[in-house]
This record gives sequence, structure tokens and C-alpha cells, in this order.
Amino acid sequence: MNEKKIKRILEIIPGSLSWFMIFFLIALFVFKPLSAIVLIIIYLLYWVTRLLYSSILLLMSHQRMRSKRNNDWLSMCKEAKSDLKFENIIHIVLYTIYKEPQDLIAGSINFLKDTDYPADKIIVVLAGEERAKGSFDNLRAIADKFKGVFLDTIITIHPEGMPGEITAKGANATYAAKQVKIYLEEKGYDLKNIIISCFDADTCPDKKYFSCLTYNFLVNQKRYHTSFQPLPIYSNNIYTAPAFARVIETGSTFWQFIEGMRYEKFITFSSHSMSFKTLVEVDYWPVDLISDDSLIFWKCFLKFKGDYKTYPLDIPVYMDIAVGKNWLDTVKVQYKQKRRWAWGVENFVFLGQHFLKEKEIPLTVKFRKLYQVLDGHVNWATWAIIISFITPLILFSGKILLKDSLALFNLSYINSVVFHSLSFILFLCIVISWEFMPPRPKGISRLVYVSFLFQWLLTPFISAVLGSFPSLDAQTRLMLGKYLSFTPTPKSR
Amino acid sequence: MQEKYYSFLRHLSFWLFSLAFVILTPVIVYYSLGYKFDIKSKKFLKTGALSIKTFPRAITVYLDGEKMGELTPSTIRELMPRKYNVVLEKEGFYPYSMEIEIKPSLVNNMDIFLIPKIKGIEKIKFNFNIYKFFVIKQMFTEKILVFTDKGIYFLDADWEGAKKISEEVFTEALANSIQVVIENNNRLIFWNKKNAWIVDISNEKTSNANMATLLYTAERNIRNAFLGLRERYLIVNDGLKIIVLDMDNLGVSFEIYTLNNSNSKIFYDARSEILYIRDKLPQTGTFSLFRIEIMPLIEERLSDERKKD
Repeated sequence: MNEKKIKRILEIIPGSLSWFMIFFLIALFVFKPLSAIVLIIIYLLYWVTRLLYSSILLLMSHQRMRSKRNNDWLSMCKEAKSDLKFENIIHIVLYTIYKEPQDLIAGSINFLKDTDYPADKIIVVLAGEERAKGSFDNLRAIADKFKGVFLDTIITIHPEGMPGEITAKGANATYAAKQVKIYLEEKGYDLKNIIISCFDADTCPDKKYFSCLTYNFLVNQKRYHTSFQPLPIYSNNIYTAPAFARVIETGSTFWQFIEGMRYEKFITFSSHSMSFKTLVEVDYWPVDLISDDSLIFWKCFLKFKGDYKTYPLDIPVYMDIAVGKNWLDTVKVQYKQKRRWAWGVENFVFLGQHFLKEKEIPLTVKFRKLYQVLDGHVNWATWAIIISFITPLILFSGKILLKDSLALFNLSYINSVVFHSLSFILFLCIVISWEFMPPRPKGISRLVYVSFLFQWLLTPFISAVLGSFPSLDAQTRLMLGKYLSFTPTPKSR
Repeated sequence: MQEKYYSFLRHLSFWLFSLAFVILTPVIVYYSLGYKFDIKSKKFLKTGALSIKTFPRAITVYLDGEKMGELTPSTIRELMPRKYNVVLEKEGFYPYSMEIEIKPSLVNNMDIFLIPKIKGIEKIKFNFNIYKFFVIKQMFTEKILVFTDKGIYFLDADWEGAKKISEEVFTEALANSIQVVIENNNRLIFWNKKNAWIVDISNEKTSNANMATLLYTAERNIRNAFLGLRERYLIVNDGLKIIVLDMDNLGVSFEIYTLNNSNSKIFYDARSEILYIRDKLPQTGTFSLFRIEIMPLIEERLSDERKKD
């Protein structure tokens, strides 16, 4: 079978599986209602178990983060036993920029300046796009603001329409990283000592982020086979963002929290850090695919024959909640952002294609990883639809058609158990999310906290509308060969 | 805590939850379908369930004479398929007893409204001889209008007070003959088969204040009547004709339609000001339905007049 056919088959699998699950349940209820009820009971029990297990992971992850919070990472760096010297470590902080306003970028760099890590060991890269008019002048103005603060500030402008590239963040980051490599080689730096962090324009690192990253890089024996993942917290504009947007983004943070406990499944997401040497070895981020943040992990995984991991740093980077001009626009922006994230289903195609050629990775590992990606995406696209829409639909129509069925009667009871489990997890979320709350800005009423509390009631609705629907949309597009184009998330503060 | 402890705890939780899922799922599914393992016969038996909802709640349930632990609303599971006697009991209510049948894998849903025991009934605190009473519904409340041997009264909702609205004392026979009472714009309009009366119940008193004024006396019988024409007129069907009576200027009336049959009926829709008449066609001898739209008719007449000018 030729490569194109294999690619198409791989593209069709996730979407068709998700749609099959949805339609199978509905069709089964129409023709064999009792079987459908039994299947839903098993599905709900599976999710209760999974949600309770996830809440244990959430608590453990939270505890681990708290235990690391008061570490003096900088002192630990200086005393770390490593074959590398702390003094030689240089950080490249690469900001991918499109049309974000100057003050937003400057705000993020201010956070970088205020970290406890010596600024003279940090090189800032402002990676602009040629297609954003006036990009260089804007970046120059920002660079001038921070003149002399960092070891150096480099501006790169990614030319438009480079062969083999699509319009995506990965192409810009790769172009900038290639320019940085030339710069580092000219300056005589050893790439082994360089750590690169690929940040969005709104990424504001925690005060201890770089010292914690450096320490973990120094002491990690497999530092060149490891990516380092901060905890993305979407809180920069939390007091002004609509409630539903806060819920969905806080959900993303918690998902990262939970994933961070599952080392063997953990992959890079959004802003992340890694060895520059490794980045060069794997030929940088992909330039022809959208999900650059997760694909860089899989590129490394393939390059090192499965011997590659993502290490959770448990130190936050603060980012903006994607918002639009108004409430409805925010729904659109959020939907498009989540659909872009869900486009990560292309990882399944990427992995499938490469696994077929790859002979050194054991077959069991290949299946496990493919299943991990497929399971994650198919569940993402279906679970909220099944729990929030199909189960109530079956319960409602069952009360008319099968009102005396004991199985249906018990399904209604189990369904309420699921929602109680969800409430328990939501309670955990409320308690933990309180810790990440930045100070309330002046002019914002205390009443905002009431909405912070009640916002969680939107969860079942939001999980479907801004969780499963964008994911199903992305998988359907991939299935039909209608490929998604990269839509940058508008950012302003 | 070191990484290895987190790893250990995570793996332990994973296997515990997986084990719980693998063991509990078949048990719960079988239980949901009504299966119960009978230790004596060492067999799975198919059972049914009884779901009881009541108004009011918290009722004690007896099943074949045995008191159930849970008050209503409650579900009794694992019942072997057969007939049972269910008794619902609560102090102050009549006990509810019925026989139900439990079928395998099915739930018997009972939704019961319990009747309270009537111990003593409340009596109004005034010494009237009540001839007749009417309940007049208003938007949020109800009023009780009573025709008594001392006049016509409105009773308060809590029966603590009575407001005299008319000095008029009808005989018991006449009061009992009253069929309909309407309260409208501080007026009380009521009629029996022969007569229609009106009482001004506004606070402003006139010379005839608080006395019932005869509004109309029918040649035959008042069959039905409606308020209409911006609620100023009473539209009466007396079996011979349709007559409209001005309630603001007593004595002013208009005979607007002569009915062909004494069994003819009318209906007046005050919202759209349309009069519907079911009347017999003299040519065919059959009943037909007629409609008179009052407002367009007024416009039509005005237009005719303008044309003449």
C-alpha cells in the first residue's frame, strides 16, 4: 500500500471511531434498548472510575507541586552534582509572535526579567512573522525597552511562503531556532549547555521557573532525552474573562496537572522547554503541521527509538485566557482554539506513518502509544456528548418507551452517581483553583468571587460545547480530508 | 515525598481502581437487570423493584405487613416476582392499601396522593343566615361573595372579616335562583333566569348606593350573558333576541339581533370583541354559526358616513 493511502486510512480512523460510538449507541437504543442501557451503565461506571482515579492524581500532583514550591532552586542549581556546570547554562527564551500588541509582549518579558534566574544568562528571541506588517519595527521597539537587561535579544522575522511550510507557529519557531543556532555557533557556545524554551507571546513564567528548569536539567541523567513541561495556568486575564472561558481554561490546567502524574504518557503541551542540542538533532519543530507543541515530543520519541520522556516541572507559567471582543466572539475564539488543540489528532497519523517505517521500537510500545493518542482523542470527542446528551436522551425517551424497565430505572440512579462524582471533582477543582488566583485588580468588585464559585455549574454544558464538539469537528475534518489551517488566538490585555 | 513514592501510589491507585471496575461492573450490571444471587439455591434469580412516590412525602411503607426502613420517596429492590400488599401510613391521613404485582426485571412505579382525615371544619365567625355563596376568582386571590339575611357580603380570605357591600336582602328563594355573579370595575353584576341586577361597590356612594338595581327583566329566560364592548355593556341572550345593556347609564339598551329560535346560543369574545351566534336559518331549518365583528363594524359605519359627507 502506498504512503498516501496509509495516511488517508490513518486520518479516517479517529473520526470514524468517534462517530461510530455516538451513532452506535443511538441505533442500539432504537433497536435493542436494553443492550444500549447496559452499555451506557458500563460506560458510566468506566467514567466514574476514571474520574475518581483522576481526582486522586490531581490531589497527588497538587501535593507534589506544593512540596516543591518553597525550594530554593537557584541555590540548588549552584550545588547540583552534575557533569555540566551551572555557570555555563544559557537559556534561550523564544517568543513566537504574530500580531500581539507591544504592551502584551513587553508584559511577558517583564515577568521574565523578574524571575530569580540571572538575566545575563538569558537570551531573548523575538520571533516575528513577515506576514504581520511592521513586525520588525514593533519587535525592535520591544527589544530597545529591555536593552542591556538580558545577555542578548535577537529579533528574527520568519519570511512568508517558505517552501514546504504551512502557516503555523511551528514554522516560525523553527526558522527562529535555526537563526539562533547560527548565532550560538558564531559566539562559540556549546549547544549541550543551551536550554530553549518555546513560549507564546502571553507566557509569563513563574519567578522560579528558570531556576527549577535549570536544576532539573542539570541533575537529569537523560537531559537530552527529556522535554521539560511547566504547568500552564490561564490566569493573566481571569478577572475579566467570561465565566465559561475561565472554566474551560482551568479545566485545561487541571488536565495538565493530572497528565503530569502519568510520566509514561506525558507529552509536551503549549509552552515547553528542552535541550537546544536535542532540538537541532531532531531537526526542530515540524513546519508542515499545526500541533508543533506535541509533535516535537513525538519527533524526539521517534529519533531516540522510544527513549524520550516529558518531565513535569510543577512550576507554573501564566498565560491569557483566549477571549474575543464580546461574549459571543469569545465562544468563537475558544471554539477555534480548542479545535486547534484537538487537531493534535494529527499526531496519530504522524505516529502511525512513522511507526510503519520504524523497526527498532518494539511493537508493543508502538501499539501502546498509538492507543494512547487514539484513546485520548476519541474520548475527548465523545465522552461529554455521551454523558451530557445521549444518556439524558436515553433516560428521557426511555421514561416514555420503557417506563417499567428496572435497568432504565437503575441507569437513572447510576447517572446521578456520575454527577455526584463530578461534583466531588468540581469541589476539588474549586479548592485547588483558588490557589492560582492572582490578586484582584483595582476596580473589580468582590462579587466576582461569587461568579468564580458558580461558574463550575457550567461544566457539563461547557465540556460538550467547548470540549467534545471542537474535537469532533477536528476529527471530522481530518476524516474528510478538509485540513485545518492555523488560526492564531487573538491576545490582548 | 520522593518521585518513587508518587509513582508507587499512582500505580497502586491505578490497579485498585481497575480492579474495582473489573469486579464491580458485572455485579452492578447484573444488579441493574434485577438479578440476585440466592445463597440457598445457589442460583441467580430475577427480581423486580417497587418505586413509591407520595404526596406528601415521608410516608411509612408496609409490604405484606412488614415495615420498610425507608420513608417515601423510596425504592424497594430485590423483590421476588409475585403479588404484594402495600400499605402507606401517616398520622392524620387515611391509610392507603393496594395490591401490586412485581414482575421480573421490571419496576412497579406507584405515585400516590394521600387524603387527609377531616377532623373539624372551619366555620365563619359571623352569625349570618347564608342563602347562597359564590367564589369570585381574581388574579392572585379569591373572594367569597355571600347572599345573607342581612345583605350581601365579601368574606376575607382568612374569614376573619366580612365587608358588607350591599344592604339588599334577597329572599332565600331569590338568592338561590342567582346563577352567575361577575365583579367588574367596582360593580357586581348578577342574574338569575328572569332578572339581572347591578350593585355599585365603589366607595363613592350615590343616592342608591349599596342597593341592587334591576338592570334587566327578560320576557322569557336569560340564557346567557357576557360583558363586552370594552366591558361597558352586558350582552344578554334571552332566547328571543340579543340585547345590550349599558351598565353606566341604566335604562339605556339596544336590541341588536332577533333570534330565529329559542334554542339559539351566543358567545361573546371580549378580547377580540366578536359576537358568535348559533341560530336557525329560516330557509333551511338548520342551525348555522354567525359572526359579528364589532370593531370593524364601527369602522365600516364611520367610513360610510364619511363617504356620504
